[in-house]
Amino acid sequence: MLAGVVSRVFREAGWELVVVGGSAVEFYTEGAYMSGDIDFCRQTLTPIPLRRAQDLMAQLNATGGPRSWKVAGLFVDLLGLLENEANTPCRTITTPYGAIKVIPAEMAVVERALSAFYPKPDGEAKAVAKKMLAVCLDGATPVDWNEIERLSRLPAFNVQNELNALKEEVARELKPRA
Amino acid sequence: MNSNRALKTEWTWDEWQQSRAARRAAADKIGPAIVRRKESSSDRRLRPAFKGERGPDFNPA
Repeated sequence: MLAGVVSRVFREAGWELVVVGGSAVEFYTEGAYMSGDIDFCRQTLTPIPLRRAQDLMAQLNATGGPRSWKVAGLFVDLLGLLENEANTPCRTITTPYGAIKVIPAEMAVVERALSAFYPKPDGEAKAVAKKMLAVCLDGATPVDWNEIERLSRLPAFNVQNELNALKEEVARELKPRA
Repeated sequence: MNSNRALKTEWTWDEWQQSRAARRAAADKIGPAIVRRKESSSDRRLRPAFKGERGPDFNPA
């Protein structure tokens, strides 16, 4: 898996990467929201010199750069320093190719809810947020609902009411019909 | 939905593979199987690479 290989190469060089954004949603929903690129942020504070990044990606026969590469037919983006307000840990999947860290599912939920309603209500973004809520409500993607509630109330998101309404909507849709 | 239970945050590859079907099934309960943005700033590179689409064909493992 490409995310594992990229994570391992950078980790061995001293930088911890985290899968973020829509790419994280792909992990949590098992590809329900998918595109041809993988977005990473850097968890390690120390910046990655661009030449170093190029040399590391060269190990994978990547083309392009210095912040976006094509590798094995997919695109890898390195977006900068991780922004993560969650108190819950990043999720870790240990693959045969390397461990992958993914932004906490709680952050993914709240970010998707924010995108669903702001800057203006967006049907596509709402559908993604509902997928994310569905896997969480089902328990297939475990989350801390108290942390989701806390994050949604933060001024950085301020999306508590919208998220709770969307959560209820998804819960109704998940309920088996009599 | 119980937040008090220990939160699982780490998966072995086997655990992750075994739990894929459950995640997919849960996601499939809401809306179409795949939700893909119609457009984004990445279109210029994605569409030529994936036969006019924004990503590869969805092929559940």
